[in-house]
Amino acid sequence: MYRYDEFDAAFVRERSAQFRDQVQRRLTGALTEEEFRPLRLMNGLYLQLHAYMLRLAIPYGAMRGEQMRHLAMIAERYDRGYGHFTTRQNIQFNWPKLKDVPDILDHLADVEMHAIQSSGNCIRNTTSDPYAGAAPDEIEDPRITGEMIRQWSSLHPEFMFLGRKFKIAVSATEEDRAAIKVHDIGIQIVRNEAGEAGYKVLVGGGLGRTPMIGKVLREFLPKADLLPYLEATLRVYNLFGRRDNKYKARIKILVHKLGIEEYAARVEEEFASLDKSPELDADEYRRIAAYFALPAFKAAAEESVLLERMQREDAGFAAWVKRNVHPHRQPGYAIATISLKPIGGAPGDATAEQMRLMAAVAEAHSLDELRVTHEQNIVLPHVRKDELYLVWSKLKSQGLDAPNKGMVTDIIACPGLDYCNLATARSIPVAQNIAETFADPAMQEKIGPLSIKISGCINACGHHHIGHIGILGLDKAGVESYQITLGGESTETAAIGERVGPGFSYGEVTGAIETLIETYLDQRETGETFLQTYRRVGLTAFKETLYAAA
Amino acid sequence: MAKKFTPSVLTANHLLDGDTVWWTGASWTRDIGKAEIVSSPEAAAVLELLSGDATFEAEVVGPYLVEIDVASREPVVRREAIRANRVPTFAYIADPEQRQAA
Repeated sequence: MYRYDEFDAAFVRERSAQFRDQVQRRLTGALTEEEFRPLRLMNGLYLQLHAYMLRLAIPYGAMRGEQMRHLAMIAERYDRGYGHFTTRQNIQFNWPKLKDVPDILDHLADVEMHAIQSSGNCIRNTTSDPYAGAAPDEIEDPRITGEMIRQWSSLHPEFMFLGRKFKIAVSATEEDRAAIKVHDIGIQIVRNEAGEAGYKVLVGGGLGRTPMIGKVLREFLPKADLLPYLEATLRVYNLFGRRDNKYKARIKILVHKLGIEEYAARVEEEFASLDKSPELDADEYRRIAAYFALPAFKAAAEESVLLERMQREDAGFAAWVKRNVHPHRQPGYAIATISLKPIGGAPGDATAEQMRLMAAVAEAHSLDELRVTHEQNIVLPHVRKDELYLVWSKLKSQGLDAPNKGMVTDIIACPGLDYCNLATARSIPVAQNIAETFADPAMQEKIGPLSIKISGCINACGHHHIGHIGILGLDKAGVESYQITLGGESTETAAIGERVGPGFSYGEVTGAIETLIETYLDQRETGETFLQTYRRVGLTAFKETLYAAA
Repeated sequence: MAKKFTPSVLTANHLLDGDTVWWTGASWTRDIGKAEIVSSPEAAAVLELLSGDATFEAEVVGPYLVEIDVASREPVVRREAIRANRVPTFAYIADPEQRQAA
C-alpha cells in the first residue's frame, strides 16, 4: 500500500486547516454561501435533502484496516452510525454537521485520508480494479499507475477548474473490472509486440445524460509517457471543450463532435510540443512501485483440504465460496468479496460495527488490505484458502455473508430521492423491493449472473446505462416513473443499454423486472446468462412480454 | 395561462447541521407544522424577498418556497414531503431511533 511521505502528510494537514478557517469564516459571516459553496465542494462537502453529505476520496478504493476502523469511528461519532460506499469506490457520510467537518478531516488526516477533489470540476479520485495486486491475470499492479495519476492530478494548477468533472480509471487485465470504457479517460495496461508493458488509452466514455463508450486514443503508450500524454489529452479538452452549457461540457461531447481521429491528432500535436522527462517519470514510477511490492504471502498448497471439507459440510459457506470467492495469483490464496447487499438492505451501506469487523478481518486474514468496488461491495484481496471458512463465519456474525456477488440481488443503486438533491425518484427502496422479490437463493441460482443498476435521475450515479437491466427513475408530472434499459454492460464488452419503452410507476417496476426475468428464463438456451440471451434474441422479445398486458 | 397560485411555505437547510427547516414568520423551525403558510402571490413575493436577507444567510442555506397542501400541511411534491419527514422513506437500519426501537 502507498504510504504518505512528508509532503503528502503536510499537504493534507494544511488543507484541513485551510478548510477549518473557511468554515469559521462562513459561520462568522465573513464568507457568503455563494463564496463558501465552491470551497466546501472542493473538500467533498455537499448539501443534500436532509443534511450535509461528506464524500471522501479513497484512492483506487484501497484501504488498510486502520483506515476502515477510522471510518467506523467517524460514522459513530459524527454521523448516524453508518456510511455509504459508492460507485466511485469512495464512501459518503450522509449526516455530518458543518461545524464537525474540520474535525472529521483532521481525523482522516491521522490515517492518510482526505476528501480533496471528491467534488468539483477537477480530476476526481482515480479508480481501479479492486483485485489489483491479487488478480492472476493482471500484467502489473494498476494501483501504481493510479497513484502516479493521484499525485499528478492533486491540485494540478491547469486542471482544477475544468469545464466539468473528470474521471479516470485504470485496469491491468483483459477482463475489465474497473469499467474503463465509461470513463472520461480509461487506461488499460497492456503489452506491445516486444512484450513491454505500456498503456492502451481510451477517451470520451461516460454515463450521465449522454452515455457513450470510450474510443481508443492510443493503442500503445510507453509507460514513461503517461503523465505528459494525460496532460496533452486534458489540455485539448480544456482548450476546446464547451463551457457555455454544463450538459455539453464533458470530454465525451468534444470527442464526439471532433471525431476520435481529429481529437487524437490534436492530442498528438500537443504531446509533441511538451517538455518531457521520461527518466524522471520512470524513476517516480519505480519509487511508487516499491510501495506496492508483493505482500508477505505464506507458502501454501494451491488446494485447501479444510476449504473443500467445509464446503461439503456447510451449504451456506459453499454458496458464498461459489459466488464471492475469486482465484488469486498466489497459490493457496483467494480473493473474497464482502457483499454490502443483504436482502432488504440499502446497497452499499455499512454500519460502524460492520466496518470495524471488516477492518479486523482484513488485519487478521487479508494482509491488512481492503478494497471498495465500483459495485458497492468490499473486497478482501489476500485471504488464505485455509482461513476462508473462519473469515466467512466472522462476516456472518454481522450479516456480511450474502452469497450474491454478481447475482440479481447484488443491485447497484445511487442514494436517490431519499437523500440526493438532484434525484427525481427513489432508488434504494426500488432495489430493496427487487432484492426481496428474488431473495430465494435457489431462484437466484436459477437466474445466474445478472446486474441490475438503478439511478434516481438522469445523472446516472447508479450506472443504469451499463446494467444488464438498467432502471432510471424520473419525475413525470410529480409522479415517479421508471424507465428500463436492457443489454447494458460495464466490462470489456461494454455496451449502453437500450430503452425498452414507456416507464413504469413505483408500484409497477418490480413486477416489470419479474416479467423480464421470466422472459429470459423462457428464452434462454442451456448455460446462457441473461446478457447472452439478450444479445441473441434482442430487445423485441423482452418488449413484447413486458407490454403484452398493456 | 398563468399557473394558479398554491399556498406555500419557506424552507431552507440549517447552516450548522444541514437540517431541513421551515420559516414560522419569526424564526426557523424543524417542524413543518409550525411553518407560516402564505396564501397569495403577493405574500409569497414578500417572503422570497425576505429570504435574500443577510440575516437569513447567517442561519440557513438556500431558502426557497415550497407548495403545500393546507389541510394536511404536507408539501405537494414528493421531494419536499421526504425533506419534511427528515428521514429516508425506507427503514434504514442505522437510524438511531429505529435501532433503539428494534
